[in-house]
Amino acid sequence: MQENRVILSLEDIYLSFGGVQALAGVNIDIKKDEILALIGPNGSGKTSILNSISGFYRPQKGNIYLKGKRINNIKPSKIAAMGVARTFQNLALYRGLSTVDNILSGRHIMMKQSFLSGFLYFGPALKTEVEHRRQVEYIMDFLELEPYRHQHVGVLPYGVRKRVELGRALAMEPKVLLLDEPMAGMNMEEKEDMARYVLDIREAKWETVIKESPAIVLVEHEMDVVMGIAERVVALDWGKKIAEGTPDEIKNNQAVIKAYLGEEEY
Amino acid sequence: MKGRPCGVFDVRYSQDRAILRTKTHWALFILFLIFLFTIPIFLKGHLLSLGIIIGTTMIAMFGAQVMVGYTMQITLGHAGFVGFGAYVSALLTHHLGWNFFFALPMAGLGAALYGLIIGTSTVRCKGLYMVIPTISAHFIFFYLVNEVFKKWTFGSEGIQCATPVLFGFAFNTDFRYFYLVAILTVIMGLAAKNLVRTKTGRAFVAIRDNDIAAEVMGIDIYRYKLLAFAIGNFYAGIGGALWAHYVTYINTEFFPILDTVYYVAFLIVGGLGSIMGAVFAAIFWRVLGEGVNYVAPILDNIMAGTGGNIVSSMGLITFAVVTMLFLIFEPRGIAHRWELFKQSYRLHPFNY
Ligand SMILES: Nc1ncnc2c1ncn2[C@@H]1O[C@H](COP(=O)(O)OP(=O)(O)OP(=O)(O)O)[C@@H](O)[C@H]1O
Ligand SMILES: [Mg+2]
Repeated sequence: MQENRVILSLEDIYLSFGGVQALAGVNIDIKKDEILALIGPNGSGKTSILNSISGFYRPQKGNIYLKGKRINNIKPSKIAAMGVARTFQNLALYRGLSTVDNILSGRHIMMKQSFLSGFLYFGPALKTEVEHRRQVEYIMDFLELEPYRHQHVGVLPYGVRKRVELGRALAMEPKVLLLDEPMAGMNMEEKEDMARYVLDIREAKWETVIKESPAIVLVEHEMDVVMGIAERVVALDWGKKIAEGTPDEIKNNQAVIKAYLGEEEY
Repeated sequence: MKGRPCGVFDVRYSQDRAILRTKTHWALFILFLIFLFTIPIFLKGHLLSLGIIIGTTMIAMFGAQVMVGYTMQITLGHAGFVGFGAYVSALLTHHLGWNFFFALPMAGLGAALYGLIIGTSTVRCKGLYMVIPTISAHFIFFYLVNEVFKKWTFGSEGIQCATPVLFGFAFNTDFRYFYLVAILTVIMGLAAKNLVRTKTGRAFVAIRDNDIAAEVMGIDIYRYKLLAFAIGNFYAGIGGALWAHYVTYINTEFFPILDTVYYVAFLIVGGLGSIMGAVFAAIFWRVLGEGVNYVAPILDNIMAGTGGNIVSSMGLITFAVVTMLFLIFEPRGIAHRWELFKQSYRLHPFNY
């Protein structure tokens, strides 16, 4: 019963870069109906975990299973096609595209359109463009992005760009959504908005686009944000899991407090 | 930023995507076509020939744009691929007696295939690192023509390219050839524009702007970089064949390594990353070249005693200076100016 609910599981993951041990034996299970927060001080390995799941980093040891299938050696683009979408800690939008095209690009794997029909434009290509555009409009409506529809993302304010990135990930209709510090660098109001979007995604308040809500892995530094939205928290330090539990348990966990305080001593 | 003419709102998504969105757009487009197809009536002789060369260059330039401007695969082998297409069509028409109109698509496909072969080694390189393997494509082309297939290509002696004939109608004058080139240029330009505004084009730009994100978001970057390479060289091959059968005789000296540099340099001048950029690039290159050809001998006369050096070096110098000036003052190229102009027109009459 418990097992079936696990959609993604990391088993004993080791990842190193030369002498730097980024991950040292990490075990995490992510259930398909939860928001799991990954916390930890700088350099503790949070982004490395997301990159390993995406297939962008290759752990030297350990297994990653998505819906029971081992994905360690699968190409990043295939892993995406299996239902893993994400945002990046440092914005990774396509600067040369408008908001709508950035989000449309998230539907790449779902678009059945050959480049030959693209040359013609009218006919099958236009049909799929319009069909997927409808989904993209729902997402832009949900994230309140309509005013920026045709603007190149390069000119948008930081907070809006973060939202476009979330939109692009949502457009993939993911089963697992990885969010790497979606609130970093935002002001209070933007943070609250982002937190609301994340909760709404979980609670399927946008059924027009997606039938099933994705599991969400949220990387976040700030405990107060995490407390507000996560159901479960995994704390990392030096590439190791040091604690796991509900936000309340984590808040009072000695190891976690020490890891964070230790950081402040620098 | 993309704006619409004042007061025009899109009711359907397809309308929002259309190139020609208003009646004015349609009127302008039709006017442009009328202008294009009456050019041969008022342009004669040398200038008409220039028009034809601009067209064939433009087709090849569309291909360079797909590779350089859309996927940031900096190719320094474009003239080689143009030549490759020219030779495919020359060989098919010369030795097998094929009709040009069957040989033409083969020229495109042949160059695309050659591109795929070269591409399998270059797609693993990024940006500037592609320069070396693509240059080698140029030299391999020389080697193939002048050594390996010398028996059929006649090496440096060159090969005859038959005048295109369609249902008994021979394109044997500049007047006729202009229409052939104009029609194909418009069709291939529109096709390129269509490609870049649909799924494939978005994938190209995604790879160009952030290949890591693109891959993690589900775009198979090797596949799409190869595809861009094949499509870009398809255009090069078509442009090359169309040019070869206009000049009716080719050898490898017609495809100098310097042209390969000019394709990229003038793309910067025209504007990277848009089809209009390729249009401006081709026009600017050939018109400037024509200007140099006109001015250089005059200068040579005035400054007698330089032993003809002006004639041979002025093109190179002018092109280099122009490219540098653009890099400094308008790195987004003429196409950017064109966009700004269109925007000011869109807001008219409220252009504050
Ligand atoms: N590509 C890489 N090359 C070399 N070292 C890396 C690489 N990626 C991560 N590391 C190292 O691995 C460790 C973990 O980094 P990671 O980015 O996963 O931390 P993080 O928890 O996301 O930190 P932050 O809160 O700063 O984002 C760090 O010591 C980092 O320097
Ligand atoms: Mg990080």
